[in-house]
Amino acid sequence: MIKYIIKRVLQFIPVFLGVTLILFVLQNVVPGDPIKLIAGEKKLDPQTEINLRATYHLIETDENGQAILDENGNTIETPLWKRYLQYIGGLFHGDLGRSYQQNGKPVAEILGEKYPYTIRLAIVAIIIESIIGIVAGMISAIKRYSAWDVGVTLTTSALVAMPAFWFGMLQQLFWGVFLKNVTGGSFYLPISGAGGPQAEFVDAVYYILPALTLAAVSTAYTARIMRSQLLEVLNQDYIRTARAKGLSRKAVIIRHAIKNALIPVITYIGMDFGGMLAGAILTETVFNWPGVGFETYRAITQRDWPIVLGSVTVIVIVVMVINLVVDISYAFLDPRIRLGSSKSE
Amino acid sequence: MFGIGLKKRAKQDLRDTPIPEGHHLLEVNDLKMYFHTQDGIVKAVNGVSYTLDRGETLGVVGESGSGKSVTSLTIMGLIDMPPGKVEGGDVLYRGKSLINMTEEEMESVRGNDIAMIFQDPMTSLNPVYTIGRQLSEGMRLHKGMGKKEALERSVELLRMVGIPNAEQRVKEYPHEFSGGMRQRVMIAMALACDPDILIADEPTTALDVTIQAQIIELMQEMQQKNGNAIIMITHDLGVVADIADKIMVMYAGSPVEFGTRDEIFYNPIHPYTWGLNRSIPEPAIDEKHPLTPIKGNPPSLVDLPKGCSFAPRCPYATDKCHNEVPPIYTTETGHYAKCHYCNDKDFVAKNAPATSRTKTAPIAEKKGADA
Repeated sequence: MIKYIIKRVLQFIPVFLGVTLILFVLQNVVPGDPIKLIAGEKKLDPQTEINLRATYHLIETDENGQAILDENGNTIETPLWKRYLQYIGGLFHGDLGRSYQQNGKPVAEILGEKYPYTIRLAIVAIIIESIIGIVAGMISAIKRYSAWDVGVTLTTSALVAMPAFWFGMLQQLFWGVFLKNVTGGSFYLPISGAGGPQAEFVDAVYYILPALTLAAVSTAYTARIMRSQLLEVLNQDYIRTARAKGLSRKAVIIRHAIKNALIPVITYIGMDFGGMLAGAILTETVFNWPGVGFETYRAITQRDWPIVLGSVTVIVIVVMVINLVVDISYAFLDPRIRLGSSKSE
Repeated sequence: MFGIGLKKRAKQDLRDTPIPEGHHLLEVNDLKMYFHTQDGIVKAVNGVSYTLDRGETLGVVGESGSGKSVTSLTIMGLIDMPPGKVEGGDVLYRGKSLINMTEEEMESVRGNDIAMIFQDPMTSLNPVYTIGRQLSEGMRLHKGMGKKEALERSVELLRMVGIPNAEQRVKEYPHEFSGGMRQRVMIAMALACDPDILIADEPTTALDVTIQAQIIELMQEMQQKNGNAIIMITHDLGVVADIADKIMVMYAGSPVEFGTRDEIFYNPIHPYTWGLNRSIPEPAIDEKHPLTPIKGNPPSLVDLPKGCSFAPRCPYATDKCHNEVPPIYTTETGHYAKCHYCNDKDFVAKNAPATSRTKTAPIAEKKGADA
C-alpha cells in the first residue's frame, strides 16, 4: 500500500510540471506588458517601474531585491526558463507570486481568503448530491418502471441537459424574484453573496441556492449511476444465492447489493468533489460567491495572470490528491483490488 | 446496517414436522409455470410431476431450456412473478403447499429446509464479503446464531467440505478461491442449516472434469451423513448415472420419461431418452459405435407443436404424433413416459439403443443410428 502511494505521488511530478509549464508559457506569450497592465493609463516614473519589475521577478535582482544594471545602465530581463524555475522554487515556500492588482497582494494570501468559501460550498453540494442522488437512484432501481422511476429518469435527463449557470439563474428568478413578489417580500432566498457581518439572512441560508445549483447536474448523474449499478448488481448470481439462503428482498438489497453498487458511485462522487474544490467558476460567478471560482473568473477578465496561474496550480494539486484518495478508497470497498497485498504482487 | 434482515425467526422449522400419512417429502403435482412476455406466453414448465423422499436422489436431465432449472426455482419460490405465473399444479413439502405460502413463510423454508447450489460458483458468491460472513448469514438468519458461533460453525463446515486451513480461509474473499473450492463453499453454505432437500442446479458444469467427480462425491458423502434428499439438475447423463435413484427426463417444459436409474438407462421407452443415450460419448467412438446426436433444436416454448413436442425431431414420428398430444403411459413400477408408442413392446424393442437391456434385434441399431 505504502509503495503504491509513493509511486502515485511520484507520478504527480511530471503531471504537475507539465501543467504549470504550459500555463506559465501561455501567461508570458499573451500580448501586453504586465507593468503596463498594472499602471493602466498612468505614466510611471522610471524608478517605480524598475521597482515593480523587480517585485514581479521580471528583471535580475541582487539579494536585497535591487535591480542589477548592465554596463549601459539598463535592467537585465530575466529569461523565461529562469522565471519558471523561480516560480516552482517559490511554490515550495508557499509563494505563488503577486497579483497584478489589489496592490500586489500575494496570490497565496488571496486564494487563502477565497478557498474556505469554495470548500464549504463544495461540502454542502456534495452532501446534497450524495444523499439525494443515491437515494433517488436506489428507489428508482428497486421500483423499476414505476411512476417514481419515470419521474427520476425524466428529471435527471432534464438536469443533465441544463447548463449550470442557466439553472442557477432560473433558481434566482424563482426563489429570489418571483417568490419575493408573490409573498410580498415575506419569504424569499438570497441570490447573491455569501453573507457576512451585515448580512440580511443567517449565513447558512446563502448556501442554499448556490449549493443546489452546483449539485444539480452531479446529483442527476449520481442518481443515474446508482440506478444502473443497482439494477446490474441485482441481476448478479450472488444476489440469487443470497435469496436462496432465505434473506428477504429488503435484506438482500441492504446486505448484498448496495455495497457492490456503491463502488462506481463513490468514485464518481469523489472525482466530482475534486472538481468542485477546483472552484465552480459558473456557479460562483452567477451567485457572486466569493470563492476561488469567482476570483479566477475575475482574474481572467482583468488579465490578472498570476492569480489564474496560482489558482490553477492549486487546482492541479487538489485534483491529483483527490484522485489518489479515491483510488485508495477503492481498496476498502472492493477486496479484489486491495492494493499491495501479498497476493496481488 | 449489517444486522438488518437477520432478526431471529420463530423456531418452527418445517422439517421437524412429520410427513403426513400418504405424502412424500416432496411432491410436485402437474406443476405449470408460465412466463407472460411481450412475445407471448412462454410455457417454461408444463406439467411436471414427481415425488421425492429423504435420502433419495432425483436426477433431472434435459437440454438447455427444457425447464429443469425453472422447475427447481419455482419450488424455491425464486421466480419473479410477474413475469412468471404458476398456472396450475402444486408443490407439497411435507404435505404443505409451497406455492400457497406467503413470502415470509417461504423465506424461512429457503436455505433452511430446502437449499440450492447454483451452476456457476465463480459468480455465485458476493465478491465484497468474506467467505465466513457469507457462510454465517444463513445460520444467523435461520438458527438465530450469534456472529461468533456462526463463524465457528462456518470453519467446521469448510473443514467438512474438504477445504484445508479452514480457520484462515474463512477470513478470505471469494476471489482468493479456485472454482472447485468455491463450489465446495457453495455446498457448505447450502448444508449450513442442515436442509431436508438440496437442489443442485448443474453444480459441476462450470468446473473441470477432475473437480467434477470430487464435487459429486462430496455431495453424496454429505447426503449419507445428513440423510437429505438431492435434486440433481444436469444436462449430463453421465453425472446422474452415478448418483441418481430416480431420473426425470425433461423436454420442452414437460417430463417425457420418469423412472428409476436402471429403468432410464437400461429400459428406456421414450425416443428422446434413446436419443440422449446415444449421445453419451464412449471412450472409443468408432464406426461401429458412432456418436449420434439428436438432430434439430428444441421447439420454441412460446409456440409448442400441436401434437407431441418432440415429434418434429423424432425419427419415428407418425401423423398421430404430429397432431395429438401423447398421454402419459405409466407402468406398474411407476416408470412413466409421454409417447403414443411407448406402450408398444415391439416398437420399443426394435428401436431402443444398444445399451438397453430390452435390445433384442441388432439390426434395429442401424436404424436408430440413422436417426
